[in-house]
Amino acid sequence: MRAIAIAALVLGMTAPLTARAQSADGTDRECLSLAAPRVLMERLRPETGLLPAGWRVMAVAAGDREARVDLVDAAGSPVALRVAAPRARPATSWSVVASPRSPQADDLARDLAKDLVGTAARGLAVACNDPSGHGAAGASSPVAAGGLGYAPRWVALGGSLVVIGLVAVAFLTAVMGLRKRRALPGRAP
Amino acid sequence: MRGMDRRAPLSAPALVAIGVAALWLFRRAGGADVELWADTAMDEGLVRACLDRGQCPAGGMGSSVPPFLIGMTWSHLRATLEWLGLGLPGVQALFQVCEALMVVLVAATADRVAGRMAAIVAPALAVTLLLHADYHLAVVYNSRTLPFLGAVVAGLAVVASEGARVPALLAAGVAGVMTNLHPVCGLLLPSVVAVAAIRAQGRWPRTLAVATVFGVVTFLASPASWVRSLLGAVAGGVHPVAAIGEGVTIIEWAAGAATAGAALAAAMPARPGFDRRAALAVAALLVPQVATVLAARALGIAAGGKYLLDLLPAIALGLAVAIAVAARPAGRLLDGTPAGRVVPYLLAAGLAAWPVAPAEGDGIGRMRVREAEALVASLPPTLAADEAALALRLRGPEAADVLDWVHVRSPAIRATGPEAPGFQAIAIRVAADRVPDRLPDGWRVAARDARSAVVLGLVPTRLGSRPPEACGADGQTCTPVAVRVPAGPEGAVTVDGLPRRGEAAGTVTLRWRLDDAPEGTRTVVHLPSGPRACEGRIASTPPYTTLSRDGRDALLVAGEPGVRDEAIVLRYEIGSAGCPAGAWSGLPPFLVEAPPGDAAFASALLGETLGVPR
Repeated sequence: MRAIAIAALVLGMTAPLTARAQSADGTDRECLSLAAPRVLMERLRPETGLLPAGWRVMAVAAGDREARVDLVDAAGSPVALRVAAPRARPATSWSVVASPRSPQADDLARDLAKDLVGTAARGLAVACNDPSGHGAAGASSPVAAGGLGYAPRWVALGGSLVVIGLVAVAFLTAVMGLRKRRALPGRAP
Repeated sequence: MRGMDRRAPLSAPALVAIGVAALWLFRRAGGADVELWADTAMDEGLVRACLDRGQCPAGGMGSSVPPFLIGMTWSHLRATLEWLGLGLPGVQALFQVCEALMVVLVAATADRVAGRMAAIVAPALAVTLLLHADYHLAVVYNSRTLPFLGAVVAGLAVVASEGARVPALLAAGVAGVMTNLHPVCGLLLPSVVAVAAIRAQGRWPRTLAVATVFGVVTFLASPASWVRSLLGAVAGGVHPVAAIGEGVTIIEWAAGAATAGAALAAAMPARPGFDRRAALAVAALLVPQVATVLAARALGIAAGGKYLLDLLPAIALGLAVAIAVAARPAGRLLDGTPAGRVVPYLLAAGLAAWPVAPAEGDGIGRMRVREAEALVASLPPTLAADEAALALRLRGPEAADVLDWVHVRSPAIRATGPEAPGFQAIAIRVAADRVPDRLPDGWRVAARDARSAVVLGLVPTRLGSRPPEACGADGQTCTPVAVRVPAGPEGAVTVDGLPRRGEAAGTVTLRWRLDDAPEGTRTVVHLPSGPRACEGRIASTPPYTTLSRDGRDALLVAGEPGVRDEAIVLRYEIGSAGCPAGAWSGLPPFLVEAPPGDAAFASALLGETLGVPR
């Protein structure tokens, strides 16, 4: 029992150490990958005027420094925009490439690249530097949480299994200790 | 044997009977369905991000004491339980088992500390406190873990007070885990250290080991959160949020009394049936956190019974021990006697028959996750798939919570309702027996069980095709708000231009522009009231409008073609009696806006009467 408890503690302590927060060059990668889809979704809404009439955004996905926007044009044909995020902030040089190319798609790519330098860069800065942790989603902001980086899935699941094991051992230890029939010395009548 | 205590502990069958009865009690009180809360949806988003994308947040959420963040343990635990196949109903059942085990542990611990009378009183007190605390038995959230873990720590502390090392170290480890579930549990550090110091032999090495285990588990279970929290605290200080404004709760009163009672009991001379060191351990658990919470209350900063949930078992123990010590002559009738072997089963019978208070409102509480999913499945597919449109065109007292759930679960919910372009969806949850046998055209029951039903109406709208405008203090300078939909499952749909949920904001003025309608078209606008509504007032109306005296109802009649600037202006005072801060969802508040017949039906479902003629 004691050995199990000690092993559980050691495992529980070491598991989350692999959580990562920043890339080697200091760019807050996870923050960028979290914030970029939000910014792109916002800027490609019909109200901004960037999106040609009849075009729709189907999905936005973002990696560490590159985002991909899947759209359909007015005729229903798919168009993809590859958005290369700048390596550091403040952002000054966004690259947006449309595929397949067409005059409308190229115009959209050019306009979006220009737009991202100004508006979106401010959006990224706000999203990535939420000092209170009470940002976009109110009192419980996952953006702020994500800004601290991510733990890989195996770390989260493994660490939680260790926690569950620790609690189970603790519960059994408590029950067995409380129910142990023993003579308690030093109790004066 | 003189000076020895050889009472038999509570038998295993008695503990099982207490546990089963407590499980039945908590199942009746909490039910099988999980309530839909914004926090539940947000947790679900984190679970999906973790399991589907492998992105499990390394830091937790903001706490009531910025810059301290809650650790990541809760979101990872939820993801793990989901990975193990326990969906929300499974987690709900697991929590109910834990709550029952909490009662069992409290009984066993109280029996050990002060005998059979305490073993009967303490579980009853624990149940009473839990049912009256700011603790939600139908919600899956981090605080649901605390009473059970608190009971484990209390049991271990009592065992450790005999001088055992492993229970003391395990108590420190569990307290460290709890600190990452809620930072207030960090106040258990002095408690577990004090418990380890109760026995003089080997005191210093043991206390050092306990403090080290606590610190290491606490930090390494969520390093990113703690680094950010501690650096933030050093750089900018600690800024607890303002007081919650509620009176002193029964939990706080009980905590104060339990602390005093346990301390006084621990000062009593030892005698058979009463373990003085164990009583000291209970007092040690209580003192630091209770003193801190009560001091915070006195200083007018964040306080309340919800910051004592982890101590509920210890509070029940402290009170029961004090009662057992004070009523010792009566207690002797139960210790080591046939009556003492029977009373645990009487306790179990009492727990099984424990009356459970009805839920809030008209007895149906909040919308359940199951109901929200059934509602979304009944929507037109194009509306259900467009969260920005849903933020404006799904209307009901709990529309914001439904939208949160749609955002994290939409791929898993298949909407199959009839398409109705240009229509809004009005969703109102009522007690099942309030649904009329015949519904108006366009209305149907989207979800129903024996207790409640969600009634859905697909109704024409003149306000749902474009976002409202948020106006400045003059009511003239207005800017369209924008619905912001996060790309991933994390986060919630928000509206730029409106205060966020939970943000103190004062007055909000919204101008809705009306869509054109054939001349003479009649539209009723009704601003609902109610415990979860942000009740507004109609500040300005277009021509040809009948306005009710209280400014909550208007009958609009479309004018002649060519009038393009028709608008209605609504004003909300966030933080007022009609719109408490907790009722502000961050989305445009719920209003009934429909042709007169539909508006009257919706208002009747809400239990309200229109203030304008139909």
